[in-house]
Amino acid sequence: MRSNEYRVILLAAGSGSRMRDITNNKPKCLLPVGNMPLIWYPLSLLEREGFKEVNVITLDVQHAEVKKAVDKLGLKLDVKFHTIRESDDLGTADALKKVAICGEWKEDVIVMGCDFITDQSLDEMIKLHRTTGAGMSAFFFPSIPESTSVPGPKSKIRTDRDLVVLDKHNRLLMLTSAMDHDENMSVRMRIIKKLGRIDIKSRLTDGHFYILDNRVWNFIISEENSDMSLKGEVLPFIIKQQFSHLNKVVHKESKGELKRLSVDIDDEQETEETHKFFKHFTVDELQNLTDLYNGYNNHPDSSYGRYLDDRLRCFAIIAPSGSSFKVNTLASYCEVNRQVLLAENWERFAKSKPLVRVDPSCGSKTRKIESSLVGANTQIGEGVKIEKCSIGSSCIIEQNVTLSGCIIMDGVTIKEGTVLTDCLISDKANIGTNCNLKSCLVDAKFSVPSITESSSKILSGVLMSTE
Amino acid sequence: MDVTKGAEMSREDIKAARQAKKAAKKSKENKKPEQKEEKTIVPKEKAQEQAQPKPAVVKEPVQKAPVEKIEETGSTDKGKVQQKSSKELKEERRLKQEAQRAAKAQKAEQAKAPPVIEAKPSKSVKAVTENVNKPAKPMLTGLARTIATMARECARIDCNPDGVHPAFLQLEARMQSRLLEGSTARVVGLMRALRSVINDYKVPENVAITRDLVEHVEKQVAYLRGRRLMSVALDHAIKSLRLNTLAYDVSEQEAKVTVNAAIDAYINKIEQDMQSVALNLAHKVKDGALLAVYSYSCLIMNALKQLFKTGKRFRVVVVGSNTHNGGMTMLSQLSDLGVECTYLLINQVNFIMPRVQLVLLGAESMLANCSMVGPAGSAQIACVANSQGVPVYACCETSKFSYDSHQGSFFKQNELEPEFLAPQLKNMPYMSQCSLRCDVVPERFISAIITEVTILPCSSVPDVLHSPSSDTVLKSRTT
Repeated sequence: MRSNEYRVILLAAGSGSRMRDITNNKPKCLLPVGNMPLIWYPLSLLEREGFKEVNVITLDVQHAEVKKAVDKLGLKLDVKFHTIRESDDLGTADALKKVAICGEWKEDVIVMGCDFITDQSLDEMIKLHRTTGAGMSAFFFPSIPESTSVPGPKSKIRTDRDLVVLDKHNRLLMLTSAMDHDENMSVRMRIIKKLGRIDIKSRLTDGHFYILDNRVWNFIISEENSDMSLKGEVLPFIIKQQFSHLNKVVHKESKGELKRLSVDIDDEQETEETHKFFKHFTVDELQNLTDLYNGYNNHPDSSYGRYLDDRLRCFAIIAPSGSSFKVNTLASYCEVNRQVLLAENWERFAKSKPLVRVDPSCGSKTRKIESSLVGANTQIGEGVKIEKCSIGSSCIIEQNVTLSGCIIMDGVTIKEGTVLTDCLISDKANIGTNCNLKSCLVDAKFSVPSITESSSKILSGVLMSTE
Repeated sequence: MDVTKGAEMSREDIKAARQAKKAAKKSKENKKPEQKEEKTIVPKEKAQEQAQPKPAVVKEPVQKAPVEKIEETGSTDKGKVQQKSSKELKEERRLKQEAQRAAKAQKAEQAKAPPVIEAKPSKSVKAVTENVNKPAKPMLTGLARTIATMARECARIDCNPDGVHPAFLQLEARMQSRLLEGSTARVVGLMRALRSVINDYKVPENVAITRDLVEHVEKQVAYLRGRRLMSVALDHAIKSLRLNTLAYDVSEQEAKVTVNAAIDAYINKIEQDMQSVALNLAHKVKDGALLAVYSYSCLIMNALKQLFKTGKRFRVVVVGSNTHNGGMTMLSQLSDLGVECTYLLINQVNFIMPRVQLVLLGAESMLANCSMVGPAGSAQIACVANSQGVPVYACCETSKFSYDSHQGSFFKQNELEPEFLAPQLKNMPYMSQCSLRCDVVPERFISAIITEVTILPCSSVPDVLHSPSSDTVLKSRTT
């Protein structure tokens, strides 16, 4: 039922540039979270919300691997793959243009990233989008605290914060990234004059889940849009257009009365890009007429009309804390792995899948396993203590190993007597005997020699910069 | 007696029958009126009854609830006279029961438990005792029960928005959340949604376009009906499109053009009607008058705008209500025009009424019994105005006249507004809240109806409805 109203695009071609350490060898969308590939979470979210088909964009070099993994998931969704060339180095908006070539869409479009995990129902957001006639709706949630521990060297990574400006009705007034500003951030006077009171939030994460009105979608895929990155450039631009003078609802009788409310700037002074945008954002006469007669007004004490006389309106929905994750940094990756291990959280995020802690193929030797997930065909030796770990499939864990708070991917061998605390071990790595690693990150296929003691390091065959 | 209790009792009958069968083998005669507490009593009673004739009844009486003591005392009497045949004992028993049942029947009628609590088939005594041990939810009576029923019916059921066009889903969402208020706004919203539906419609192969199109549109509209969001004005609007009079052999393209033209024509008609009402209103409003208006009505807003532009000077008292901001909207628009306004909440209307020359109420519809349906609160204003001798004019286009006739506040076709109580109050046991959207103003409070045709006396509503003039051909009977 949702399918005839929305088309969904899932962006799975990200290179995981903020998590190079683990995405070097593995596509970001296939990173294991709770022993399921990352892409499973948004796909299962769509499936349970009633969507029937998804368009997934992947890189051509990763396509085969991703397709295989998705097919293995056995979802009822109809997944259509679109590939883009890695060598082209396209931004998100450009990638969308490639997809759009395959046909003109009349519906509204949902664009989401493969790294979006949430337990919220999309009902509220869709209802918001529908009832307000929004041009664009976005999904935000409180960021994870910056103090979460991350394996690897403790570097002062300046976290990439989003600055979100909202009004009291959750109308999205401005969206920028902290990185785009040096020391000061400027807010246009027009916004403050019109709304009187605004909230600027810096601890909200953008889930990269957007519902775009059809007209906005047409603008994004048209040639007039020359920006490359959806979130970085295009959407902030669109959000800014809400305050353009071209954004007025013009009723037949009231054309003359408009000037009294706004600062007297002629339409011609608006930039060319703005004009181009509004060319696509066509006027819906009857909608305007409806709003003219409408008894509801969300700003009753202002002399503007409904929704402040704006044709284009952008809205945000803010989910409660702990309900969602955006897995694009190492910190969020580790945090979500930690959260998912708790049974009640698993229930929330992976609603359709029952929690199978230890895969039955692991045999039953004596060992202590608490609050952990163990994948298929993993052999665990005797005397092993595992606590709060996610262990992938086909691993070999020899006897007397102690693992605590670790994330271990597939095909890893850990020899006897090793103690690992808060580590992240990538695919097919080898940890020698009697090692003692704390907060380390072991690169894929790397062999850690025996009796290594390490703390907060990245252990890798390739010399990587610690920044 | 059993027959009259009929359908209501049948489910309880079955339960009772089951119970009785379990306890013993003579059950069918025992049909008792039941309330929740009585379910605990009933099976035990029957168990006792059945055991009555048999002398070996010792354990049962100990476990009984107080009500049963009546029977118990009876039973001890019988215990003495055990020489009586079992048939006679049963006879006496039955008579007693029927007497008690009659008494309880009246109570049962009033205090019937709401469906939510009502019916968990309690097959065993154990299950029943468990029910009693749960914290008792009070039974809703009368008004509260009606509200609960209404709330349930209005509740958003996410079933089956399957073939419904997104435009209608959007329309329904806005109407349901009270973001689209006022019947004219809703009609225009409906027209917009219909336009999208028509434009996106593709006639399937080998099917007569007329019939299929009508069905398709009716399916969308049925979605609104299912949510109880249809009103008279909306019904008329759809009928005015005259979808079923499209020629049989018309092509899809032509059909779309025709229907779009009909939509445009109807929108124009709405605008013209609003202008006509404005003209008619001008006769009633004198220069320098103090008018009172209640909440937002685009009809009145437009009329006052026209009046102001033609140079008439008047002042307005806008009466608003706490729960919706229609009054504020009216106020801000009027003051933008330059009209001198005052804003009051409805609880102060008594104070201002002696100074007011006339009251204008925007109508949602006019009923066949000549009363006016308006935003909740209109009846109060009209009542106060009436008591102070201030004329009340209902402003309503003829397309909103309806065949229905309700008395007082009505639940049948009304809608519930969003809940207004704070969450901690909502869950208190004896609390239920109800905020209705519409309200009925009785005929005696209304001085005249200002329509686009003319100014009508209140009693003429049925005449307009039945008149054979071309404008009113549309007024075929609504549901």
